[in-house]
Amino acid sequence: MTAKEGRKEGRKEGRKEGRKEGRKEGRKEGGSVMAIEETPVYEVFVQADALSFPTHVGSVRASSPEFALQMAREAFCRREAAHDVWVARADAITKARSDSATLPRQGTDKRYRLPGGYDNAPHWKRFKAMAMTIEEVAADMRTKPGR
Amino acid sequence: METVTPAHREALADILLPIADDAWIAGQRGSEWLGMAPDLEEDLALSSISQDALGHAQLLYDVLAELGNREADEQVYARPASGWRHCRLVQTPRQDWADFVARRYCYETFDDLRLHALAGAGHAPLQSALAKILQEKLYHVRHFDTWLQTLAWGGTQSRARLQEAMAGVFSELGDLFSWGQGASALAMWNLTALSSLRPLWESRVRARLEQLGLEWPRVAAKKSDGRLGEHGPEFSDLLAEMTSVRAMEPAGEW
Amino acid sequence: MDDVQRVNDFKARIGAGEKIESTDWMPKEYRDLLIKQIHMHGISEIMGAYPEKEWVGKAPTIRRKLALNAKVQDEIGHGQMLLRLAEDLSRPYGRGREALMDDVLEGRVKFHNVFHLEAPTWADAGVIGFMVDGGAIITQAMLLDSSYAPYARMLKRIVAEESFHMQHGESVVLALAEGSEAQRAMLQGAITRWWPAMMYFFGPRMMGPSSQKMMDYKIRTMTNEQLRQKFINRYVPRIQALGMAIPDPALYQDAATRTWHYTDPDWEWFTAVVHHNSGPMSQARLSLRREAHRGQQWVREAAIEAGRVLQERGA
Repeated sequence: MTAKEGRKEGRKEGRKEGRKEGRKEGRKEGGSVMAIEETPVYEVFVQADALSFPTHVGSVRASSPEFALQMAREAFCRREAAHDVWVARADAITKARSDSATLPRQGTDKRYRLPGGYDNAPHWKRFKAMAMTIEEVAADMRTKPGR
Repeated sequence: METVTPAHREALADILLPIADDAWIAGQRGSEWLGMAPDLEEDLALSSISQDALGHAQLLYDVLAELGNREADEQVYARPASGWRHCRLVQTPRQDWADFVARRYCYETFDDLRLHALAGAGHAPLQSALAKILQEKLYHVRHFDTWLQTLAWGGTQSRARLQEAMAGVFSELGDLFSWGQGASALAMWNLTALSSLRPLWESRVRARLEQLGLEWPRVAAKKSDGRLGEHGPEFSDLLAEMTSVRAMEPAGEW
Repeated sequence: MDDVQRVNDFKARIGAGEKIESTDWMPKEYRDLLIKQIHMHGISEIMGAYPEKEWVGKAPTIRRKLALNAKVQDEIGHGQMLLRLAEDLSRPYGRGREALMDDVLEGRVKFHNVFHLEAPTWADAGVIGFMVDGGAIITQAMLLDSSYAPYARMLKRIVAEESFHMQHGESVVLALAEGSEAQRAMLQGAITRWWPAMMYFFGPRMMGPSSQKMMDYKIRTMTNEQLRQKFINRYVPRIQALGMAIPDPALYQDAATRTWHYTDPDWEWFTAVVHHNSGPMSQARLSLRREAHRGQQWVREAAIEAGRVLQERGA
């Protein structure tokens, strides 16, 4: 079959299978066929383990939330197990990047609210006492009381 | 069962071989769908399910090997057609999607019941294999059930195709329920429950079809019994293709 | 801000190493180049499933069968992820998965030359993993730095999976190299078949205008010839170590410049194959894709309908 015949056959098939007009993404392409209805897109978030947050990994097309979960598992968890998987219709997600007013950006000096913005250690040293860090407190919590 | 006598070994092989062979052939035929599924996402799902099925067969062949039977690879590559115990349902080559959904829904539902009934067999290596298999089986059953519902609710044309496919599949069900030589072996392993799976399967499937507004087709009597090694020329062709590369160096490394 | 100013700002951002997201404003030229690149990449992954799929049913051991099945699945998976990116980029044109897949069937998008060719033996399945996936990793490793962030992110995942493909391919090749005379002869046959195709794989010595623009926009960062040199440099010693011949009598490395000289592939023939889908297996593989996509359009439509019914029932 030549490429030209192939195209012709494609159009014929397109009509036969009843491509529908006026659906969501329905639009004239190259003046030939009407695009058929698209399967919805779900964004996929995988939570690797109990202490991780769900992270966006990609998206799948699926006709229902049930299928979206099944397909998310296939598309993104073929090798490793997951603690949980979330799917959400892509059109239900609003992103900040397209609205610069709400996009978090580094503006004025925010060091006053960061641990690194403080320098207490030399002062503690003057009082002959040890400075504390959150890591050291957390490590202490893992040892038995009274040690 | 602490001491496994040679008679017990043979009996367990008669019980497990049909189950393993069903899984292997389902995986082999399922792999024919690679690149051919209705969409890319489903292609991924089917491939996983085929890999799982092949893996399940391998686990069961390993249990058999421990009992003194041939190694898993030998089971697959060195057995004559008449030595295979799978049923007609899993052997039919790839047709259309409605057929595949109907076919695999019937098979997965049956295999799930069968594997659960096997939990009564007191053989530790088998139980450990079963635990792994059943976990994945849960997903296989769910996947094809979701598709069954999808095609049933997918409009007039889709429903008609599914109904017609179901009738075709029911005409190939005969030997699914057979135990061939294994029938007498079941009692030796306290597994007589396995011989009465058919009514269980029928009530489960009948209820689901009713729920989805689908008719219950007639189950045809078996024309040949795969459990006795009767598979016809279609399987000889499949086997020849499956073993064709290895036949070049049957004892070599690959 | 007028459009010229906007485009210049955009180019400045890219020049400064900034990454672009799918929802960011971008010049039409950048969008179209991305669509062209990612669409072709995704479709090549999908069409790449067919030459190897033939061998899943015939794989010579259980382990090989499982691995090859998983490998073909990964290719489809990469196609799925890449098409999703191309679909998001194509939204302003009102084109989604259906249209992008139709493009393959109607010859509006090309796929890699290697997937138009025959894979007549088991050794071909191994050599595809060893050389084609190896070549793909070289190209994709370059793209990890792409200015389009969703592409770069996805490639990180894809490259990780390709490295399993390369290991699998190497393992098949090594087993054949260590095997009988018949197995070694089969391997040599496959290497001889695939070498010229791999010389074409990275594209012409002089890049076309759109490849050049992709460099300007930092969608890609190396020339075709640089990639090909990396490939030759990596594969020649390994193939020779296996005692296999490379079918190119003119192949040698300039001792001073370290540049490899090689016989040009039949550029015209391969280009015709890619542009007109006129390779030995082009039409057979396209007809498989047509059967999957057009032949099962009814299934996708039924699923959308069932999804609506489910939603109405509140299930």
